[in-house]
Amino acid sequence: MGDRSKKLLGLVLLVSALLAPFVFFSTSLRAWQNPRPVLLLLQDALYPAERLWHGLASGLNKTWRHYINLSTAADENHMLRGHLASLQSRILDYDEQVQENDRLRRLLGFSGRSEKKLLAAEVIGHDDLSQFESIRITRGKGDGVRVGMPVVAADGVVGKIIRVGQHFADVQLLVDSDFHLDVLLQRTRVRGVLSGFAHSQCTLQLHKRVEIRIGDTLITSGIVGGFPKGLPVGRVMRITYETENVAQSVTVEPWVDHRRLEEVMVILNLDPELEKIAAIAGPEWTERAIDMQTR
Amino acid sequence: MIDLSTDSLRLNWAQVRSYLRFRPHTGRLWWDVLLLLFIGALHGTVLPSITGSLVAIDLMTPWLVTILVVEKMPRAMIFVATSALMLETHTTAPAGLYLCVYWVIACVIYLTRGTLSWRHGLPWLLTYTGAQLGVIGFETFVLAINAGSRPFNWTYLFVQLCRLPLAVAIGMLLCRRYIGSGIDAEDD
Repeated sequence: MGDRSKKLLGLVLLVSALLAPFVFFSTSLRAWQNPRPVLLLLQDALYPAERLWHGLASGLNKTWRHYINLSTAADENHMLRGHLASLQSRILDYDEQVQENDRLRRLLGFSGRSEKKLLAAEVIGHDDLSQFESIRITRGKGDGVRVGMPVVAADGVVGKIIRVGQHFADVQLLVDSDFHLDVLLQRTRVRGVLSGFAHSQCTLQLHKRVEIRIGDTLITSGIVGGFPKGLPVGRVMRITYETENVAQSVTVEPWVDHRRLEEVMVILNLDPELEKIAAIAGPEWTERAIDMQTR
Repeated sequence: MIDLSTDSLRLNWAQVRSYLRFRPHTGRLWWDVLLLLFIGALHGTVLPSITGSLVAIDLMTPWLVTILVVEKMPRAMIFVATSALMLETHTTAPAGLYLCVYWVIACVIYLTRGTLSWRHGLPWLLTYTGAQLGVIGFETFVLAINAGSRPFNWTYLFVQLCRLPLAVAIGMLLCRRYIGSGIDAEDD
């Protein structure tokens, strides 16, 4: 390469390096959602290795916990038997209340709670470098998983599907700095938008002063995002007052500890509003609409 | 007919052994890309499950920086695109974040590498430190734009402060073969 060409290439590289951040910041600054399949080829190719590693690691972990590290198992067993006895008596009471609730709902003319289709998935990877928090699960496009579907665990809300490969899906966690969820304070029914905050916490900004206590539970409002109403989200850890004691900033600890997650459930229902449109316009139109919305 | 003489076996073994060397730049493009994919799998899958969330090890940046110092620009673009795509489609990082920061690092390295003497350790040390600071700084800036000051706390600072020396240490391990001999801008 001649001197002149080298200088020209250097100049082109310099200009492109200076322009690159401006081009990047002119985009939407959102993660790859629903990318073209070709962009997920690498991830699809590496998925078997990821699965293999997860199998090995969880096998070793299970062997350690189930066969070697059993020093506290007897005490734990004794304690759990006590818990079981108390829970069994509470379940009897709970069944009675559920039946009573159903009867009252029918009397008042409410529709019953819609049954959601759930799909169980195993967690095979966790990524939290620089607070971009996500997990990878073992269900993908082939299992009917789509971008935007809510993901829950036994303890409550986990996150939502952000990217889908052929055999895997990535879940944006509740604690991701770009995650937002419409929630209700269970005791006072105050609504707010919860945002991801740090490795294990979220924050709720309330622009007016409301009654709130440490330990209060937050549940999903069911209004936007496809999450059914009433799923447990987290509990209030700290309350700070801002703007002359009017606004409140609430730190919330999610019920689900994402670092210990092994299995999750994907709720195979999209946003209720989109479902209504799908019923009228047909599934093809809806697929296109979701693609456009998430791209 | 297959030649099974000792010399032939030794020659074949030498060829196989050259593939088994685990380093960022072997000179064979396809093998280097495969090794980069392997590093990406380690970076995204194996390391997070071992280190937990308080220690973040960045394998990709030092590996890529080593390639960028010794590789020609058109080939370097393949590595930049591959590593950025691997990171972006595995995390919830905004699309283009790593492509942008790695592209800037690649351009800076290309424009300055002719003026540095790579047979000494200091340029490598500064390059790894600068590249890692660039990545951390850019990520932090994007986080600040997306989420305000919410995500920044002592844990975040601690994770990033651990990440920087770890990445530089990994880089210094990777560049050992170039220090004292090997490629040097002065020899061009």
